[in-house]
Amino acid sequence: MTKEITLTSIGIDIGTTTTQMVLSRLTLVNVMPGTQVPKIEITRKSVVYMGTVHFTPFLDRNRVDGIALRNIIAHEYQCAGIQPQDVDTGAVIITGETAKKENASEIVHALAEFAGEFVVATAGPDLESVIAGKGSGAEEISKRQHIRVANLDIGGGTSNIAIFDRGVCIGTACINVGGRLFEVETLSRRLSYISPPAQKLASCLENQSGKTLFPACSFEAEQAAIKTCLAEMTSCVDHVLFHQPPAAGDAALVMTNHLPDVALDGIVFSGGVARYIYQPELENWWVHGDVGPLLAEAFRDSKVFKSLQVYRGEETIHATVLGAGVHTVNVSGSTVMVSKNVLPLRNIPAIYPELKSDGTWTWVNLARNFDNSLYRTFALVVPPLPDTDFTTIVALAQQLATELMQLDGTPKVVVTQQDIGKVLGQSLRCILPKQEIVCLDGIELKLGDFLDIAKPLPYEEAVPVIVKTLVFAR
Amino acid sequence: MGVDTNIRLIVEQVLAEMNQTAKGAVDGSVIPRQPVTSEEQAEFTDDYLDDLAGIDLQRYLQVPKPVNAELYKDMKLATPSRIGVWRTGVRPLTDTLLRFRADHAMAQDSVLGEVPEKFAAQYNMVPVVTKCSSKDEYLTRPDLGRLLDAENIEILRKQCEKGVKVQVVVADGLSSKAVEANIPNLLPAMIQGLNSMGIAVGTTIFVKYARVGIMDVIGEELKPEVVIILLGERPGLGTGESMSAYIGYNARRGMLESERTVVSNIHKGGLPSAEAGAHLADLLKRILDAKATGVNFK
Amino acid sequence: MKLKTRLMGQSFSFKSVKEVLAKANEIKSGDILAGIAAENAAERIAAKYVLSQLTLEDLRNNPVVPLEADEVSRIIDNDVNEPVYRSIKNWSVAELRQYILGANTVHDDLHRISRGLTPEMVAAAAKLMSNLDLVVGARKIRNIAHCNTTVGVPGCLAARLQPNHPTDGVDGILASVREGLAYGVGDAVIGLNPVDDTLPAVIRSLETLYQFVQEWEIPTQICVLAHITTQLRAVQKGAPVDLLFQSIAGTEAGNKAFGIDSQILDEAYAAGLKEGRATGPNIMYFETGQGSELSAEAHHNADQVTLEARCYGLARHYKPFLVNTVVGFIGPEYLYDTRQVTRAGLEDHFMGKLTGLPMGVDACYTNHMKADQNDIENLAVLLTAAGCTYFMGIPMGDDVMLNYQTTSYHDISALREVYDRRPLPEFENWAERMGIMRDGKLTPKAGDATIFTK
Repeated sequence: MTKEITLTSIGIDIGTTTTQMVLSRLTLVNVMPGTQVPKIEITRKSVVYMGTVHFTPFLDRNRVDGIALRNIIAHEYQCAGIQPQDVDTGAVIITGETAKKENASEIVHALAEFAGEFVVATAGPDLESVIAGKGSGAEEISKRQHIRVANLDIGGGTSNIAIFDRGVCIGTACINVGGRLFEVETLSRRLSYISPPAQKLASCLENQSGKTLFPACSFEAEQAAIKTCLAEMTSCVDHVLFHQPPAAGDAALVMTNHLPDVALDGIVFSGGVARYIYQPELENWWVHGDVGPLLAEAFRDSKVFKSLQVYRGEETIHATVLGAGVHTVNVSGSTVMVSKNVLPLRNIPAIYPELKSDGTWTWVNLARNFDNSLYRTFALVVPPLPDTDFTTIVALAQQLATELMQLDGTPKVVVTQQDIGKVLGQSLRCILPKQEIVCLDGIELKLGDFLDIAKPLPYEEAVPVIVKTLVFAR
Repeated sequence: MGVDTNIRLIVEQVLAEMNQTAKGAVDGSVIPRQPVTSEEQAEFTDDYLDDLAGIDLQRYLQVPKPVNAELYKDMKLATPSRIGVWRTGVRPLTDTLLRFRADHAMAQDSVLGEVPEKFAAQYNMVPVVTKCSSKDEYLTRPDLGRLLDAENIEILRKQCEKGVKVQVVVADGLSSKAVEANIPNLLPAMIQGLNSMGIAVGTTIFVKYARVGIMDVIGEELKPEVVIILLGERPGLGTGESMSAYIGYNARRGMLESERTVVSNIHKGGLPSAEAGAHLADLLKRILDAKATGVNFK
Repeated sequence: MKLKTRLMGQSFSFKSVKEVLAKANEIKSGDILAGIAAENAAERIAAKYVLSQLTLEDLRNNPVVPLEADEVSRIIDNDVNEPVYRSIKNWSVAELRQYILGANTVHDDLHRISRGLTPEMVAAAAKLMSNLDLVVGARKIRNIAHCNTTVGVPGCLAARLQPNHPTDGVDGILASVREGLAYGVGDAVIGLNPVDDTLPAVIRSLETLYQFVQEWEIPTQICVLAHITTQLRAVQKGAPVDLLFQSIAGTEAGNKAFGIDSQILDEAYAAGLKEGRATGPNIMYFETGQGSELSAEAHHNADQVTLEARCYGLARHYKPFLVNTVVGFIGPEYLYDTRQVTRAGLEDHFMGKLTGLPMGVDACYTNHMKADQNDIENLAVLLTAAGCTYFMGIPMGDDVMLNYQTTSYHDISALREVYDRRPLPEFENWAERMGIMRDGKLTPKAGDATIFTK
């Protein structure tokens, strides 16, 4: 048996302003001794190619230009020196404003030839926060040092917060605080654009003080006004992170907030702006045509920076794309059952059972909440059993078989956390010999998950699974 | 959590309907608590001490005021080693010491204990015994644990089918408890899997005082395509019930150890027995397709 | 050379020196399994008596495996210091025993004759000695070696911290390391038996241990006890290796079963000196144990005590930093019960010491032996009295990977307390700085593994 397997993974982050691709290699190792059933873990992740940052192409203010996007990715594949068939797994994460329904399907369509084998996910602000925190290394820091840290990923339009408690994400928030909320002319250094959230904040501040901020009468006044707004933005982040009462302007900025009221041991900054927090560089602050370095300066004055232990993760600027490419893959147990040629599967809703009045479990009602036409099949989730005896499993298989046959869709997918995937799968096959069955174990799910199930690993039965947890969603 | 409790209720209900007898039989081998003899005694007889062996050691932190209790809890979950046990002077605390002794007692009983006489019959196995005449001889004479005398070979000839695809052998090995704990789930799961793939299984054989090499004798005698022997591993302190499966394609005398395929660590905390049965069924199928085991397989 | 004797009217005759050596052994199930043990108690004593009258020259001339058939025999014979040998070759084994135990014989004397002894002579002396003889003899000998720290220092009792984990999990390994250090264990070496012998896994474990030792500035050495060829590749790849480990046997065929020969050991030794991180000069670590040759069917009909002594003869060639016997690991077919394990532990320790090695003992038992924790606690007490260099330290003595029991972190502290022994000096200073020990005793902080948090 091969001890180590290397997988090539692609991550593509299509954000509001920029699009980037990263190529990484995952080393999967069987951590069990030779005579034992393998247990596959991802032991090493290394970035092989970090693509250049492109502006996300738009046809108009709302619609992504699919053809232009395809060309960007084709170009990146070329630069990375890989063919689509070399890619084993990966994810396209569509974030921010781009993540609208029509855009998502346009992107899926445009990237079909590249992303055939893997998942395209519209992240939403919460998943994006989690991905950034994984990509920056904040998750790892919290796990390794047994502490609770927040990752603050400050991009162009938003700041995404995720709190990790000893390696586990316990909450996220998304705030309209970013480096490109104000744009400037690189020659004159004068304001060229104020984004709607910044506009709202400014008016709120104007109402409070009775003074006009924008347009400003002079360069100096404009600078002062911008800095006032940026300071207000960073204190909004303080309010959210430290559970302080919100200021009047916060309402204009806070998009989502699911942070638990817990004390933090430290903070990790990531995203384009974070670079200037770790290495202040104010001399040519206007080079990007925005106010990122000024925002960084404001953060250095904030309570977050001053009162918390500041850690630096392994990746600062490209945390999201790294997280997308590398960190979303889980691996199932290696005794599972998968009928031939039914994988990969994408966007399968995980269905949890509910208790019927007669004391048995049912999945069908909850499955019917999902629009059948959108999903190829469902994954029925089996909660932990009191024991894993053969009779218990056969009884469970009987029950599942009845339920599965009431649902459309194929293959029939069952997911457990306990190590019973293969015996349950074989029991189901005895009852439903004609059905295609995918029965996986070793996958921990929370309510509101969608699954992407990739092809089994070469030489092993274990299956990479991407779990998209939407548990923090609105 | 509510979900767990509910599941348990349902499964218990289903079980009650499904397989009363089999379940009862297995429970029968567990030493029963002292029976309540009369009404007056009831209030006293119910007063048991908590089961010392019932403590989940990985969640039992004894260090009184550690610098970082959270870290300690994580450390304990990261290893089954007996850490975080604290001390009195330079010696362990009393319950730590007694728990260690309890685990060792369990391990020793598991080695020295015998699989109940009725066990073989209960699972329709043909019982034979190697040339060892006692457990003690078994432990000191590994050579005898690989041999059958003429009388026992005759039993195999008379009661077992020759030339089957898969011959299953169960053996006590170094842990009788491993047999009792795993076979009731492993065997039906494995046979279900094999049958559903259309693979014929011979009558299961139970060999007392057996080493792995007994498969060579059985292979030579009954000429099955594959022999799989399921036997108890040498117990560790935490894992008295661990079982291994050794598989030999075309098993025969003089077969090399490296020609066998091994799956070890079959027990509740490792590969659970029902899942192991399913896994072994699939593995046997692949072995039959490849016509090889050990270094020649994959 | 006389191979016959009468004892209480009965006559006994033996065909060879090898047979005398075998039958002179205290009872061992392994010798019975090999079919070479004395038939009864009288024959055993007769053999001892015949052995006592053989000269050291007889033993050198009759190695249990001939020189032409076995490279271990050749290496051992080549390493004999001839002037020393000439000065003692006419001694009988009885005289050797009495010289060792004699009131005027001190450490330097034993160190000197050691260089003229072959394993057959060392084993022969042990066979004539009672358990207490073995304690008294070994106690005189001080063998000191230096890797990053010095082991074998008088008044010290060191310990190998053995942080084994069922899947080589990094967090699990470090958890046991922290716990052991908090009990003042780990001065001999922090040595992991890996589950996974592949190069990436071994390098990962080496780096894990190295980084921890660096971070906490612990004066000790690290080792991952993979096959030596894997460690060799690791050291060649620049992995942080202090000690190079290998299990060895007393015959060439036995070593072949371990996948090694002298060429491999030479290469690893040279690479370790050249590429290893340790200060040195002693950078090798060997484990041995009675019965391993028989289990590999590589015993040449020699007894397991003599073969064990030959392991030490081979080990000496590589100037090791650590050598220990794993005395109860092999199982009841070689060492049946407590009595046999105790005897073997005392024999091995004495023979290793007399061969010139900084000898430690893994005083242990498996669950299919007739022994329990009380028995190895007894053995450890005897061995500490005998001046044993180091023991193993494992959480509560329970090795969750190798599935056997040995001495615990608590036991190390207890043995130090009972015999007023200290950890190795550099390590003790560190433990004082960390607040774990004061004046050789555990402080109230000791035993809390989470003192290692930053």
